[in-house]
Amino acid sequence: MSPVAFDPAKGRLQITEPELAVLVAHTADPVGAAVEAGAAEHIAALQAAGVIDGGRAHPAVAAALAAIVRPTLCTLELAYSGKAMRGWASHAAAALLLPADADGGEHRTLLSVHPTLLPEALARLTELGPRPRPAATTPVAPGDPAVGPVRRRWRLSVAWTDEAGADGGGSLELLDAESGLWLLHPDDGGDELAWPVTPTFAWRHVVRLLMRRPAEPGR
Amino acid sequence: MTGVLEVHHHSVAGFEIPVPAGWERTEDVDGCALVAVEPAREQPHLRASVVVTVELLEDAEGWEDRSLAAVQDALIRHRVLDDAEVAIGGHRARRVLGHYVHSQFGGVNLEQWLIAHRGLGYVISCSTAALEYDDMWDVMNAVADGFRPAGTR
Repeated sequence: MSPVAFDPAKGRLQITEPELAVLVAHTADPVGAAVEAGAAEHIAALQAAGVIDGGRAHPAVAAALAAIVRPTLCTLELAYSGKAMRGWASHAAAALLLPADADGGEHRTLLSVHPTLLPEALARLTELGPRPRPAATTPVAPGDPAVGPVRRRWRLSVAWTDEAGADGGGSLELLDAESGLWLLHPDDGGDELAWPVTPTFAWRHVVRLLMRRPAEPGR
Repeated sequence: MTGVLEVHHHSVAGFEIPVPAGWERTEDVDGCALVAVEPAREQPHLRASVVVTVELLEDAEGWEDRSLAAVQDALIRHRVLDDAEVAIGGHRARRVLGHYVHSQFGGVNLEQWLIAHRGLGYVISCSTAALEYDDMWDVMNAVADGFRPAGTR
């Protein structure tokens, strides 16, 4: 197994999921995590990489790890192009666990980002940018010729627990087609429809979800 | 976050634009015809703003692209999210939504409308903190929709 790779300047950590589990447990309870069966090897690897130093997480990733332990803003999952990314956000920091590399290696990249940069990170992953406007002005079936060839399909799911302890969540699913962007959303009868939308709509509703508001077609 | 809009009539350039009541307004500062800024809050934050610039279009062709390229060069990690032709008050305009990184406050949305009219190039730039984009969307779009170039009242 290759060692943990840590770039403090970029807040970037390449790590296996078992190592991340130990690191998160260590963040929550350093003493308890250290005595867990099998943790010693992972803690030694994390110490060797400088991720854990003096019994604490390095400052470059400490806040992101704290967000994983206590995601006071939201948790998120982005499924795109056959990949899946997970994220955790507090009001002070956020962590993104990027998909595994295409080579099928065990390591994944944990990225520490400021919460205000979460929309941008999601836009980069989904390659959100200027698109043509679909010719349709009303929703169509996802397989309708008006949609045409689809370059990418992505879905952002966000879950949260508000200050009163109530759970909430929402999702946004889009087809990124040569004709433009289409929101996938069921009609009143439950049939999935593709609604023509703009990149601005997608961006606005990514922000809405991160701010714990469900997406709404037509807004 | 914002209340009613008040129409600001620029004292020299003659254009009109609605801006949220209570925002600080300054004319002709740092090359900008108008700067309107949200009042400060208790905690440090990126104050939402509306900025209007006006320039004489000696070479109107390619003005929009040149103006947008200058923005791209000036801002950190500027990313264009949307770019479309729209109409404002019956005038053709180009609307560009972008995002950049502010060294102190993090993600910032920059939404711009570019309008060429009677030899002048107007750029309306609305900035908001990235995570407040949805909160400010209605008001910023109302600001742009209400813009009228000089001589069109």
